[in-house]
Amino acid sequence: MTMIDGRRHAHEGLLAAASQVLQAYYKAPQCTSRTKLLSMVVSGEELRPMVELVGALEDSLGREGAASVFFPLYMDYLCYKEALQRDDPPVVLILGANLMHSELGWNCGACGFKSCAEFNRFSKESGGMGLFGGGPSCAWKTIDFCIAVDYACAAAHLLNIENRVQATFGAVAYLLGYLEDASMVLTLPLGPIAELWYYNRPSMTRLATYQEWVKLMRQNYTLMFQMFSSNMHPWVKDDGPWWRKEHTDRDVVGVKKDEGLEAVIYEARGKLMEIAIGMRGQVQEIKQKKGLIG
Amino acid sequence: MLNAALTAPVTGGVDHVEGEIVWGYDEQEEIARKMEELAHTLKNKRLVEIFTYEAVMAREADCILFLGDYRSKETPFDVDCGYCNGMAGCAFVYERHKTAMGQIDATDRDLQETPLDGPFCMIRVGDLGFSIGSALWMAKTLMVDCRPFYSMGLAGLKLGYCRNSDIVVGLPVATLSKNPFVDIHYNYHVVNMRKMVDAVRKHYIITRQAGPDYRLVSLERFKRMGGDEPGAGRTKDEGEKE
Repeated sequence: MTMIDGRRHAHEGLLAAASQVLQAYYKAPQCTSRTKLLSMVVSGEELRPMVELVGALEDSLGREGAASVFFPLYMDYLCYKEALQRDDPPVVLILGANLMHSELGWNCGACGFKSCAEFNRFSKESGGMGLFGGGPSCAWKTIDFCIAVDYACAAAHLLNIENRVQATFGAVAYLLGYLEDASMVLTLPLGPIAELWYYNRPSMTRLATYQEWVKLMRQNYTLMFQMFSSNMHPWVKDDGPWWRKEHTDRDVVGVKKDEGLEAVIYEARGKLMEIAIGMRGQVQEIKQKKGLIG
Repeated sequence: MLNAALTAPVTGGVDHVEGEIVWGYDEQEEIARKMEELAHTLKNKRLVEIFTYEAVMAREADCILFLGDYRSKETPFDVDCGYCNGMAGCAFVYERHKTAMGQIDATDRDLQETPLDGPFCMIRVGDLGFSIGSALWMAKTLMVDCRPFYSMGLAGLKLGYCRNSDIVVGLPVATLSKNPFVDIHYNYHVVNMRKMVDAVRKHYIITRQAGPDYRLVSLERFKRMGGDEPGAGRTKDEGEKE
């Protein structure tokens, strides 16, 4: 009676699983009982603008540039890209909430203001936007939102679906305006049908050679690999027989200003904003087509 | 539940949460009393009712789990995320605390004008949310009742539970036939089970004192039933059978 490819069948079940995960998301207990949770399910073609944004960033900054300035985003991008190439794209849950307004009146001070009224006034007049989302945020609403997100993760875990909650693509979804009213957005991809897709990241292994990974580690973990430090110029131990190296070849730990790095980073961030603003129209179009906005 | 909290998803995989399990009549009473004290000393009319009725729950719970985040004030995530306000270099948090060598001075607790010494790194606060979510999920899986509370967390913090943390949430756990943390009506701090039982006890004890000497009453009653002194307490039929 039935003969279907198993992997395909599992993939088609992701959308049904998404509804169960979202049921858990909305059922989560809250500290305030007042946090309004927003969400959207995106899959297939509707997912493309998110992936294409990072693709456009890569085209504009080059692979090296995109990977070095937005490394975590780039890693997640590779996971999405390869899943799309395998024709096994994840069903992405975009979860968000507006945390920039508080009607609680608790005046707890966790946000840094003396009262909720002061917080609301500041939020309205000088609330800003960072790399991931908007602020200031009400701490208790943040806790509520994250409890709900955790419920969604736990539900996905119990359903044995590959998933990972991401702030990187949450930021992309935020910039593209998938959820208009949210100040904090996180994405929870369900699928592809694979193990440790977003953790061991099989899509990453081909990105660089072993030597390049070692170099990256040494750049980031020098403090853990340093030698006697009290000569004020501690050497950094190398992969392999570092003791045989000439003194002149050795790297030492030090702090110095990297001229121009800040400029590169801020230019890249500007580029990200520019591309995102250019692509917002696409998302609005999709939303209009799906009847989500008038 | 605490294990679930420790294994919850966390930004950057960095440990951030500490937890304490508290139980016992004296300990819970102390927490409840602290909540009632805070209800009035915080000088916030909105919190008086919330704090006092949640104190009832602290007493009714079988135990209380405190979860705190010890990185929210001291070690921000340093990623320019913008959730605290959107200023570059996490300046919003650093600017409002005392710092030395780029580190926030956690020993400086003098500036507190509010119950919590914010601003906090909202990514860390969100991580605490993830941990609480996992603990609650585990409670749900174990079929016990649990709910997160600001009031209980604040009382715990002031009493020195999770002392490395700057933000603590209280999670009372109960295994009763009725979930004591929901279906709360008005003036619950006065009209609750404990008060009701106490009121019944008080009125019953007063009312029963209106009765006459029970020994005389029974004698009269048995005489009327046809019994006599040795067979008091038996009916006429039973006496005849003998």
